[in-house]
Amino acid sequence: MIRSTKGRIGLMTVLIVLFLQPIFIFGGGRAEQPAVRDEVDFSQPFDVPITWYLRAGIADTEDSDAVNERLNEVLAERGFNVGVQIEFINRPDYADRMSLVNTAGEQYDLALVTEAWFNQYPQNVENEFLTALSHYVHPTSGETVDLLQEFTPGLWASMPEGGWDAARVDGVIYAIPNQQIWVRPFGVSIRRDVMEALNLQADIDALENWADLTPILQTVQDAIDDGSLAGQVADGQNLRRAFATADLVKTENARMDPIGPAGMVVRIDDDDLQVESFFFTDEFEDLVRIRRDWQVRGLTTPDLLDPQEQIAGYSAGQYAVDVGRLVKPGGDLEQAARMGYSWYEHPIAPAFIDTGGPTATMTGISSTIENNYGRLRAVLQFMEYVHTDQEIYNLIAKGIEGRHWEWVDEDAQLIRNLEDSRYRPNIDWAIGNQFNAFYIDPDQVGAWPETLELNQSAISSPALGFRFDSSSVQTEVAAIQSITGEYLDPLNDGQASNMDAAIAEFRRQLTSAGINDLLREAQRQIDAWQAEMQ
Amino acid sequence: MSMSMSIISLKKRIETRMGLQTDLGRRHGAWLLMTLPAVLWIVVFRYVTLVGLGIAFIDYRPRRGIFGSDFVGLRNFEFLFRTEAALRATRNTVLLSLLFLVVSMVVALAVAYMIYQIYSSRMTKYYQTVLLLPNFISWVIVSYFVFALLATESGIVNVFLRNIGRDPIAWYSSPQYWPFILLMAHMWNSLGWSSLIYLAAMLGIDPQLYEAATLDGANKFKQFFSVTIPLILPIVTLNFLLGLGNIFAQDFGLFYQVTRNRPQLYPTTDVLDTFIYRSIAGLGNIPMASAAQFYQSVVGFVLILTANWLIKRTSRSDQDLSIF
Repeated sequence: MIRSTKGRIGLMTVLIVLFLQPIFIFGGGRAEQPAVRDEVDFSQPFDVPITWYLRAGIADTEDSDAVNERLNEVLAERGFNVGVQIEFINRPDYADRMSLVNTAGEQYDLALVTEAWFNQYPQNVENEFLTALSHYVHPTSGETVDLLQEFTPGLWASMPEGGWDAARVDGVIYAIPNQQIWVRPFGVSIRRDVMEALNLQADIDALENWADLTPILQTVQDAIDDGSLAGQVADGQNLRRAFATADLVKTENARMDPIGPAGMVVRIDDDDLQVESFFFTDEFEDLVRIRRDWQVRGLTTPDLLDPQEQIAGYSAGQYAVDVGRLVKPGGDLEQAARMGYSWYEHPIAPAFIDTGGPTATMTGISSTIENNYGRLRAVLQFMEYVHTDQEIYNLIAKGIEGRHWEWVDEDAQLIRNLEDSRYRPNIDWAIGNQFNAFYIDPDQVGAWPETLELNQSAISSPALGFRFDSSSVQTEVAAIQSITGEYLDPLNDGQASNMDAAIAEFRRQLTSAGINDLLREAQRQIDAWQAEMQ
Repeated sequence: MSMSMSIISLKKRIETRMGLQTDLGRRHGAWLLMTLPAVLWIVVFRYVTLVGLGIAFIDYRPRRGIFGSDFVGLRNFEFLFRTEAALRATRNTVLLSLLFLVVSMVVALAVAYMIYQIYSSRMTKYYQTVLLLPNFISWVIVSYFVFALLATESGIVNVFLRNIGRDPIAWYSSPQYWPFILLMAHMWNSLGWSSLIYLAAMLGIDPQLYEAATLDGANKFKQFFSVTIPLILPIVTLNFLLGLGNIFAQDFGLFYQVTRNRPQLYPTTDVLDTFIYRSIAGLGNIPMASAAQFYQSVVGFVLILTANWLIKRTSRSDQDLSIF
């Protein structure tokens, strides 16, 4: 029965795509192609406006028609009259919708792509869904041009060092990185009232490695066990364990840049770029042993909880510490919004930029318009506005002043969402340059310059800009993914009772699944990449 | 509603098959014409789309299309045979499927017979509803029921074990119990549905046969094996054959959700579907996904054909129970 419903949905989508496709293709209008550096006229509306697919909660973007209307008015004031349409796709549907849109060849202009989350950048590039922005070949003259440097100078200059390099695949940029936090200093997050009741702030501020966290967690657990927190902190009688979430076993925590699947890493201080497997390093062993130690001490739940259960537990005041969170300016507020209570954060892992940081979320230009040069130029101009024009950015990110938000303090760029606002997509990081966003919380004021400072001051991985092409070793990648899926989680979660045996078996399985072939291939690719860079 | 319709259409299918030799066109012309939209649908979406199977053998690039991509032979199938885990998943799939198939057939027949015996009573509706209801509960929700029962610290079962002075069991890291736990979950979920089919078949039996058997001194057990089973054997074999076809494609939700996807349980619960999901989820590799599906379908098809052939060989000449 379920099968037949699926079949029917499939039929409907296929029919819709088949019927709509000609409209999109012919509706675009193929005018004369301008030459490479011709002035392009943006004063006339296109038959089909520039379409930008973004991912947001559908209930949060009900009023998007009004925003689109206002956006076009503001753009028209700047002489940009071609027409723009922001299309929000509901969060759970976004990945499937974009995959359907792409494989069906439906024409669109811009879409949110991510490094590893949904509508992934590497797959988009491999399947030729995106326009090569830095090495664009003009459809009639055959001339190669760097569209970004030529036509979006403001956007090009706004990106800190490393941003553009991270987006390169074989040297070619296919999408525009969004500016947000690029470094990933993982650390610890603790409830403020618990920290103050136990006088732990000095210890936490002094934390430099993960093993030193153990006595702090133990102090919290002891206080929970002897009931001394019960009267002192909010919902103290609900506290059960020191923590429920501990995302500890990560390459970043061991100063390594994950350059490919199956735990392939390069150490961030290794300029020779020696590829190795994280799972075979001493650092990996240390981290899983620390995690197991916490499990044995009873600092966490005996059964692993799934993420929803963890959040529900934190919200109910059952746990006081969250280990392995990304620590960033304003992150404590996000944590509070998710779980309630007030939180204090401290980074433990070093802040460095690797390839996955700047490309975490990006905006790609569809290859369905690559032969329509006039349209492409308009899309680029629009991106220039989005990244450099604060009014336009905030119109898309926050809505219309007076209708969706109002000023609290204009000098501090602080706004407040209106009670009955039907537009609060809450996806600053998906739109362009988040550092242009207005603040919506007084405590958040000043977070953007701080984050930008973090991005600019962080050291870069020596492999920044290298991308592993796994197409020739997909069988090995699949085999190793099935091995990690089975053996890594029990180590990650502290569930494996015999650590030595579990680690040995994991490594034996990896070897027999062909991890050495994979490492050799990665080393060959990274050597070639390095030779090319010099 | 749709269920009773399925039963009717099932009966129709069997009758049609038996009456296939008669002068079809003259007697059933109008009816056949009415099936035309459905037949067209099947042809277009079940046969024309078979071309897509080609994706399993190529390095598929959507923009180049199926015919423009490079042929790579069996490369996309390799991951299905490369690791010990793959072989273990194949073994688990076959053994668990056979266990489910056989046990649920026996229990469903027994339950159907029991309901049949009290058929006049108003309670029948109640029993049917109660048995059928679990079929509509998603495995995600079931996984929480099971967790509430089996959680190490606060699970109902372990609390009970502690109360009677026994050691609690870490269920989610003890794979040896799980074939049984999964069997229970599967039965709980599917019993209502499969017994309903057998019940429908039993209702078609002429009650005089039972009366005659009673007069001959046959008790309920004797009646079951001598009257009921022989008469509904076509349905039982049909169900069995169709079940065999699915032996390589298990119910993903049962094995993924109910076990909470705990790796410690993989030795007995990792089946092909979960293994394939774990191997290629996130790779975005359409050809490998197609290859996996292709492999499962081919094995299912071969199993059906073999079983069908065996049944044909062993059936009595006056009662052919095979489907082809």
